[in-house]
Amino acid sequence: MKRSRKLVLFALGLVLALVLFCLAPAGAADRAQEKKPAAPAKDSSQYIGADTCKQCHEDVYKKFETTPHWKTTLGAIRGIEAHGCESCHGPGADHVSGGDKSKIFTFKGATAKQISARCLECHEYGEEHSNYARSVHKINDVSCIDCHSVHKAKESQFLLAKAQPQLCYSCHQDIRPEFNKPFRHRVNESLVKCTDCHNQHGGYMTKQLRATAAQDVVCFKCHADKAGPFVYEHHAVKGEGCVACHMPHGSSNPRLLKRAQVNLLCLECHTPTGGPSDAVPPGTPSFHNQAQKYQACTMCHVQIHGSNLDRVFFK
Amino acid sequence: MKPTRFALNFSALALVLLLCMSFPAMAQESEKAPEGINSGNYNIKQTVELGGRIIPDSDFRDTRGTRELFNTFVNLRSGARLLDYTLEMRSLNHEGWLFDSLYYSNFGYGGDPNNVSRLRVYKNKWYSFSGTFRRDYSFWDYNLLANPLNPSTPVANAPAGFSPTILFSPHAQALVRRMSDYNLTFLPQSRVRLRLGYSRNVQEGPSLSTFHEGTDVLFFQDWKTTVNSYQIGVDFKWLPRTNISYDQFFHYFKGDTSWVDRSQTFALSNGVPVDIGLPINTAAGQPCAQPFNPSTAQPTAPAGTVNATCNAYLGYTRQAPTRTNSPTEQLSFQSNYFKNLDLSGRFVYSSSDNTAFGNEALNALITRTRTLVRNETGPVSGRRVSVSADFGITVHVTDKLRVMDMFRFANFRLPMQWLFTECSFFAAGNPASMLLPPTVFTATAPLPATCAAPANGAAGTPTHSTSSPPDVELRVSSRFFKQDIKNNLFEVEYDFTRRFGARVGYRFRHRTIADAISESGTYVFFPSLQNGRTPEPPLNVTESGASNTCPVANNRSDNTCLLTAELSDSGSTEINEHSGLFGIWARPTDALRVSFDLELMSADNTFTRVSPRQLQHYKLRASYKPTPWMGFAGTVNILENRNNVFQVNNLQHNRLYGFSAAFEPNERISFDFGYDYNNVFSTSLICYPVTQPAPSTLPACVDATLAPIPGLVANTSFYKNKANFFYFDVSWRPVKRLRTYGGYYLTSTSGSTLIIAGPQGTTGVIPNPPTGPLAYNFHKPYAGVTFDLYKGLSWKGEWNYYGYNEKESALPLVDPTGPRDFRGNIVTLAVRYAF
Repeated sequence: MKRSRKLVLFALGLVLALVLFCLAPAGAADRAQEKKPAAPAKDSSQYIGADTCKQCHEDVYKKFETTPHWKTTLGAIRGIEAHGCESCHGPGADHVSGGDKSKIFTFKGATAKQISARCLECHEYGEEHSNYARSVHKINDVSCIDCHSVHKAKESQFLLAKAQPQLCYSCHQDIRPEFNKPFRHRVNESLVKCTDCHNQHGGYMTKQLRATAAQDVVCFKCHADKAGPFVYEHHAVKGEGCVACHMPHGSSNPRLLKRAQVNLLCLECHTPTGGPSDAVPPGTPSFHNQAQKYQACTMCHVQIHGSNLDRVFFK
Repeated sequence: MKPTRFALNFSALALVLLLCMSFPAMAQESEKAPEGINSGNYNIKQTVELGGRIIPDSDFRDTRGTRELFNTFVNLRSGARLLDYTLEMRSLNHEGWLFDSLYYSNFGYGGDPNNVSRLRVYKNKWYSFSGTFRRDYSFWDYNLLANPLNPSTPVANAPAGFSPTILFSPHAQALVRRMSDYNLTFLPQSRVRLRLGYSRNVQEGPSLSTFHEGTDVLFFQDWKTTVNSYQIGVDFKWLPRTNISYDQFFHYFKGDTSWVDRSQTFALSNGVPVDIGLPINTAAGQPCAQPFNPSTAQPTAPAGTVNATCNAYLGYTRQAPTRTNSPTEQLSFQSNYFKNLDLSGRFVYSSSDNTAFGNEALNALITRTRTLVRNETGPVSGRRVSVSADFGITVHVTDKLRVMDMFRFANFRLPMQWLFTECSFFAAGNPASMLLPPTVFTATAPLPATCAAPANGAAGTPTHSTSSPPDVELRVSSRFFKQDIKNNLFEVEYDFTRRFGARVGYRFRHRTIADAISESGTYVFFPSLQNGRTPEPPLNVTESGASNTCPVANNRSDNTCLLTAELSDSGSTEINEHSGLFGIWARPTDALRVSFDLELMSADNTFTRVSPRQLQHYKLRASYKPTPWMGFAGTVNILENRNNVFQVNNLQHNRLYGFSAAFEPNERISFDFGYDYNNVFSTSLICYPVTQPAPSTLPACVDATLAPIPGLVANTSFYKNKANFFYFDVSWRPVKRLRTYGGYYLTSTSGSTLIIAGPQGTTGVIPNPPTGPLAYNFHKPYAGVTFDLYKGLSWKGEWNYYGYNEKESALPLVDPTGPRDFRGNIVTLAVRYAF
């Protein structure tokens, strides 16, 4: 416990040092970046068209041509400001006239806020992206191009910088060990993706979890037989969710359980003392003598997620 | 000699490889994405990787290294495979006839446990389609799970060759889940777009289950569940920077899993097959004190036949076809219409109808109740009504200051009911015997349900025990459960500079969880012991706690007794949670990123004893990339939660510290490694019944008034698990056409947990439960080589090793199946062609 506190204090100290470092007055380069041209111009004469860009940036254009974004060159879908290269980089006339990089919006060096704002001009459409402004990624300064690479994508689908789950592990490295445990969801095997359960672009639920259409926990999308409704619900399942008993990513214990012995897991709740007065779960009856030969609770209480036919989940 | 399947597979692979090796060595770098072939208006790229896996059987000859355990964890098998296939078609002028782009990929076909196909098709302005098919073959036989852990002590008079030890999991399963998801969007870029979706999830296959009554018997569980989900939605984008969507979902669930007892591996003395169940604990009467007849009982009861007065099953079937129809409506919007204001919201209403029909036929001697035949049948009906509303708003006060609020209201309620009849027929004889026909009593007074008498029944007056259930029962069992959540998160974010920002927030969550039960039953007790028996719980006692029996021996003309009983109860739990949130992000330099999140939560109540009343969550992430070819990352993730109140004493933590580094100095070599340490701890006070050795060492469990609760002792349960995870990957290309790679992944854990001690034996206290997988090593080294043979063509060979070893425990645990180990070498050979 003491060791943990020391580590926490060390982490807080580190954070404080970084805060002081970052609060120092911005350098000249930073100030220059802040003055980047960002806003799309309304004057159509400021736009020079993708063919002009291609003359100097042919290698980039060649790659761009193979990506879904190339369709932005097919007519002005939403006005001239959403056309070709300039739909992301802004009007290029000033840049072309002098070749000055600072006269056009470049993503390198731009803030996450600026970058995301550019992308969301087109992509904030529908439920998938509609909460990006309030997502954990956004508020931690993670921008779209931290995961997507528009010009150098390694994955042609969704222009990802890397394939899942490696892409997610690059920040969430604490999750990698969990999917390498013997009992785990098949994420490393590419059967399940992180984004099957989490909405990486933000959502209304904590941990950016997705939900079923009927707003039940996302687990029930695959584990549909556990969803019920049941006459006899195991209240912990519906009240606290699957994570009351299971580790969702991976576990050292069978069935991704939180404890190695299922009986101890059950007894932590099914003890008739100290619980909430109105929701005391049944305690262990006297005929469950734990001194007799070991027998797991779930050998008898097999329908532990809920049952229509038995109040103690025997069938 | 007939060639083995392995030899055939190996020969086929060798032939393929030989053919491939015969190509002229004009290889280019085939792992580069192919340029593709231009055909018509399309550029077409394909990669195909064909090969196979070889898994030597010799790996599984060690008695502890079972293939079942290997298949539980890895489940790869020998044979030819389509390891990977991708097809990309792209219209050269982005104006293809049917589509502008098509992407299709799949892997694992031919025998791997996971097969996945993904298809995306897109036609500019017209439609966008995505489809995924996933098949997961899940084999599960972790033999400790639900294992009664019978000691290997021989059972008296058992048939030759019988061993009580059970080496498999009675909950083993070999299920296949097929999941399909298809989504089609029409006019994806227009102001009005239409979306259609269909998902299907089928899970089926053989599995095992257990059933507890009298003893625990093994059932064959024919698993079959199907979900079909349909979606139709429309998006409107008439207002600038505003999107309004309406979706209608239809969700149909079908559960057709059935259960049958097929384990009648023994016989009664009359030759009738019988199942004595899994647990053999004769001292505790499981299935009875003397399950097998001794030789002295011959010839009426030949030696090795099952004692007819023992708990045992002659037959059992159960079906409960379940149907759930859930229509769901959703209205959502997102808008940036107002400058500096970002809004989103969603309203969802769902109301599902649930029906099922339970049908159980039991033909087994339950010695405690003398039941020999029981039929239980009746309909289940109910609903799940769910309403949720979400609203999110971000106000961009200035370029640097943002105020954000997210509100969520979610409510579901589950009114459910089961109306069933139960008819019981009891065994004759004293003690009750399976060799005698069940007794059938003919009642002349009207009964609440019609009971079909068993075909082999004999007329007479049944012999009951005081534990015998009513002979005829009609019951209505109603349950209600609901949860209401209101959650609001308010945050203020401020960007101090373009390299540093911070936020502070407050979250409030209010939960109301309520449940209610209503039970009513009409019971008829036939002679004998009409007023000496009670209904089954919870109607076995009256409100005052007295036994709920017929007031007189008989209250009807035919000497039977009719009893009606009712019970209702309800309760609710209110929980208010307050959380303070704080976070910062920083980019001191372009190469260094740091973020820190903190959440401190306090609640005034909990729903379970181990739900947190106080919680602290610290997350620190940092990455440093000084050059494009070198990167370092570190994580600290600490979750502390507790419900440290009187008589619970729950403390938990999950602390994780990780570090990783990656180097890729040039295209020829790359190296990365990482280490993580995870410490999981939990402790809480638990109460349970246990026969203690004298003198007693554990205190009695006490209630809120400190009065002892009869039969329960208190103990401190603890769980400690420390996991070390280390990995490295290295890739080296010594020459242009050859790439070698390898790595090693190791998870090593240690831990301890409460061992609930059994009675004092001659060697001391006997610990009962096994520690299971608390301490183990899981090794996963691998190595591979890729050799470019020809333009686009390469040969690949890879070796993987999976080694799992549970560490031996110093305690004399009752775990005849442990420690569980396996090792498996897998050689994968393949030819990859990209064109």
